[in-house]
Amino acid sequence: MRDRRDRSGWLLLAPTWLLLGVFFLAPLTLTLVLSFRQRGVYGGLKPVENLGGYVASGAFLSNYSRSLQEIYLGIGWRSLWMALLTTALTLVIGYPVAYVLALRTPRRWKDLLLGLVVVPFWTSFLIRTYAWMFLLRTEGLLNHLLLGAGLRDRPLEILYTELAVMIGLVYGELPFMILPLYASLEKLDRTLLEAAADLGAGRGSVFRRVTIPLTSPGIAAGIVLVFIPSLGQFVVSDLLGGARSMLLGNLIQNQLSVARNHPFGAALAFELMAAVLLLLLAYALYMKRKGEEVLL
Amino acid sequence: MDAVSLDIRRGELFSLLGPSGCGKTTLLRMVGGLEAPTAGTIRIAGTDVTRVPPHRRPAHMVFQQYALFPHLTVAENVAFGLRYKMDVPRAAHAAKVREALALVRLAGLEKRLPHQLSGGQRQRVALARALVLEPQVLLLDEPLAALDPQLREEVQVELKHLQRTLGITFLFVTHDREEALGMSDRVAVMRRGRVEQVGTPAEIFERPATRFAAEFLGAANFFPAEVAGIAGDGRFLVRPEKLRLCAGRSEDSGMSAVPVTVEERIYQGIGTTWIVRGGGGEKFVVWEQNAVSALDEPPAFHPGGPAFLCWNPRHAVWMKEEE
Repeated sequence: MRDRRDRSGWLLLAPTWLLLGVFFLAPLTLTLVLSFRQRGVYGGLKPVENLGGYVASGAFLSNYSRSLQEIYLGIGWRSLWMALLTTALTLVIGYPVAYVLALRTPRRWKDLLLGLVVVPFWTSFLIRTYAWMFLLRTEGLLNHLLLGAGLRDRPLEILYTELAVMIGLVYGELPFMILPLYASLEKLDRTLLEAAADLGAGRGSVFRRVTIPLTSPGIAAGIVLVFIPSLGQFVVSDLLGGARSMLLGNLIQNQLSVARNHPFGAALAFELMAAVLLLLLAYALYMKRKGEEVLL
Repeated sequence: MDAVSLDIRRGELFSLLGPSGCGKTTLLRMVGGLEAPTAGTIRIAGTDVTRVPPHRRPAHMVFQQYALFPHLTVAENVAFGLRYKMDVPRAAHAAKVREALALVRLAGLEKRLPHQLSGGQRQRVALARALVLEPQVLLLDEPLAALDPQLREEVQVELKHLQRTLGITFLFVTHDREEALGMSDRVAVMRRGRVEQVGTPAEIFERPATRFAAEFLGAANFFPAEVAGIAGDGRFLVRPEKLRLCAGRSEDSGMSAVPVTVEERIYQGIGTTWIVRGGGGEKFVVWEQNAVSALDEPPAFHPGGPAFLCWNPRHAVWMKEEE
């Protein structure tokens, strides 16, 4: 009896395993193997004649050692800083928005305003980023308004700078910060805020000692949701950034397309993934310690 | 909230009693500063606090669901408000917390989180958290409503005892008449944002000022004025336990009596409830304590049979007809 139930349990899980195997595990394994190989003379792959010798010589790690060269490390650091800055800015902008939306907005306005946060998703991210080009470029809307209003006599040169990339990243990731923050602020028991005020805490104190700690799961989720995609971003930096604002995402994309060095691109992708996995692990451990559900 | 005027004395346990939606909680929150009155003033110990924000009022609240901070331990919850009290040095905080927890018999649970406590323990943490700040007024919003019925009676006694030893004014909101009668020094009966009557528990129970107060505080029988031979626009109130079933009019001189028909006898162990009908079909309820075992003395009246409803005229309360 028990035996049969055990076996049927495995059977029920089979579709999941199949799905994960075909769409997740297999491509990942292929990428990993690819990252150990080397580019052929005309792109493609250099054949491995003697597998034992290839492994023993350590040549299979050459892509990884190459990624540690100064030029690539520089790109890595810049990507990290841009992602961190994006995360920090979306948090600073998103928290007040989510707070007002969750706690200070009358019920009948809530759905509408929350809808406005989500509306951008209805248009392709690529098109929205193009729209920023039109807003920011030298003859764009922003400069048109600034010059027209007489606020400046020379147009601002924003497009194709790191500032433009930053604006694009923050714009794109903001909803992913606002939504989890909103969810945790909405859940917040308002009588706890009243209790804190009743016990003598002023507004700032209530915020610091009650609101922030009790919404920390939302903050953590928002950080993870924003940091990970901005670390691998390449559309924004490609369209809005100049030649010097290449990010890790652009580098990988470049290796896979223009440079036709698939093994190196695969190695870079794996390194990025390892960093992301570490962060997710840290997040899961943090949530578990808090006794909260892990959302991702 | 409509033209409410209340004077609460220092050191008394004052209850606001009324059905849900009568404004008792709103009134309590106004005293705590969590809601602002559109007109009128609130004074605590002579000081006008109407425009003082909640965190600067000498009144602290025990919330209905206790509102303990879930991310803080018991000790941290109790210590929460201490840092805002300038007259308590930081070094004295730990001792204050210990003292407050001992007062509510929670010593030893300092390190627990709220979700690791029982309902009764949570309630006592909420109490300690407010009491440690030595408020002039403690506001309690139905503090017993979330407790088991068995626990409720025990906590009633404990709260009353605490209030008497500390000498702090307790302003207590409840919809439970037994709670209000059993604990309070004085009670305000509220209805639809108005105060119907203020008085000691015995006053509001025995001499209710309005029909609503009479019925909210317990079962009530109303007799038409003619019964007592009085002309006037109103009725008499006699509570069920003040009524008796008698065999005849002349049994006891000075008693009022009306002929009735017994409809139902409900034996409840500790007492018996009789439901009877008057000549005009009006229903009355009589409650009689079973001072003698029903096995020794079979009931003198039976459903369907005749009887007289007797009462001492002193226990009848004249109530003028309300608009």
